[in-house]
Amino acid sequence: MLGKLLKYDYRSNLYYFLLMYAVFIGITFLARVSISMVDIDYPAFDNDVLSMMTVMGSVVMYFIGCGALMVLTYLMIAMRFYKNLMGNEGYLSFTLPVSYHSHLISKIISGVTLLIVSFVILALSGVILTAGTDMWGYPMVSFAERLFEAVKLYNPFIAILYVLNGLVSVIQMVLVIYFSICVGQLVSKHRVLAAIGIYIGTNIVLGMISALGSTIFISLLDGSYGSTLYFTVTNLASILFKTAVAAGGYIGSYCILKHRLNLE
Amino acid sequence: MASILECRNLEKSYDGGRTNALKGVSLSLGKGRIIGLLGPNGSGKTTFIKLINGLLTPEKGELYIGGYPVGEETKRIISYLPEVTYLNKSMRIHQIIDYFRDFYDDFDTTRAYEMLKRLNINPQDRMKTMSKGTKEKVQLIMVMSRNASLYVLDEPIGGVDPAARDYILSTIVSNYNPEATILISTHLIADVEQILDDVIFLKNGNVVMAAQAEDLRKTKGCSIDAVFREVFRC
Repeated sequence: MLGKLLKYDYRSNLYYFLLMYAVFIGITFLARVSISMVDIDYPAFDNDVLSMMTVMGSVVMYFIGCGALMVLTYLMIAMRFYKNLMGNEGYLSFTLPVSYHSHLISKIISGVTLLIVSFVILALSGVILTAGTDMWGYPMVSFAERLFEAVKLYNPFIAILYVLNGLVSVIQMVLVIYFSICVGQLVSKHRVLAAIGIYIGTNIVLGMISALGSTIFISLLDGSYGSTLYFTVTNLASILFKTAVAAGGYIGSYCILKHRLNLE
Repeated sequence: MASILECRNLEKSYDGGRTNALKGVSLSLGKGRIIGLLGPNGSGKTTFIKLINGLLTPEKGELYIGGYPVGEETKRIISYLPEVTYLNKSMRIHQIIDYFRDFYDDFDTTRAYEMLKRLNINPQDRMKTMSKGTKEKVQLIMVMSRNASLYVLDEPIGGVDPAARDYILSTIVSNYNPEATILISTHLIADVEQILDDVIFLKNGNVVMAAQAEDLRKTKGCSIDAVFREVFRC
């Protein structure tokens, strides 16, 4: 049943996500073209002010596009969860012979996949924008070189920890969204507003705990900054914290769906 | 008579206990019966139906369907038609049929296409392009195309024109397994009373009457509709 739920989840999102990615990649290409025009000293850009304004405009548009891409990804993941489980579609979803675990896991997998795809598209757009240009190429190559150096200097274990940390972060982000929506449906009125409030509140609390934890760890590891030990301990602590948050979000959401479902 | 549904002292309230929707409802629904769940607006019909389908959780009481507490097993044997449009509006009808076939082992695809054909509904149409009445017909077709043990229909004729009501009622009667039970919630008594075997009257969250339709007609000497008007007179 999990596979079937996933199939329909991906299908329902596919059109909107493809459209969003196409628009964003289009914006990236426009920005790239305008940067290239300046690079090759295109005759139409003889006027320096005009060239600068065009480049600046394109770059600003690109960065707005980056922000919009991530915000829309979040919004669409949240809306899919809300509409499919807490809205009218929930009358069908929750009368399917499917366990609450399957519902939650399918939504987590689809949400995490979409977030990762959006991150990949974001990275790809950076490559499109900068590859081969004198203006932007160096930082990208330099970043790749530094990453490679880091793996060489320390060990692949650190790199694996970073990847794992990233994955757990994405799962945690998605579960905080779902948990907030589940808690929001417990109130009888203004459920969306309640969910947004809970989401903001949860993130503030998590941010404070995270900041406090980081301060404590950094002071404990004072003097070992940059060492393998430092990267291992900070990454492991971060992974543990995010895993605990994700597990809490999952258990909380599951309990609400199983014991307090309220499709009024 | 063997029962498909048993509930004891079922209670449900809203607004943190300020509104009592069901006040200790105890019922037993027999197998192979067509049962009318009748009552005015706000009597608790939809709440009871949502509890059966696991869309709400009761504060108190027990509820068993086919011997199971509400859960995955009961959802496998219940075919539910809600009041609202619960199908994804961007889906085409043939995609909805695939969806039902994927999730319900008892879904009869051939029956669904036959009913669509009889009602002149194009399987290529999208839900969002249809009128409210056609959407309701599509939902009813999906629900009645299953070979379920319990059909729970919440206001199945509420949103369609009188001409379509007879067709829908004949669809309900002719497309279900005689071993199955149909629970129909409605306040349009006159339209459904000819197909009912049993009636349950709900008033302010309480069962005020539960009887066989024929017995009730004989005892009271009038139609179920007349009894309803008498019981629920404002």
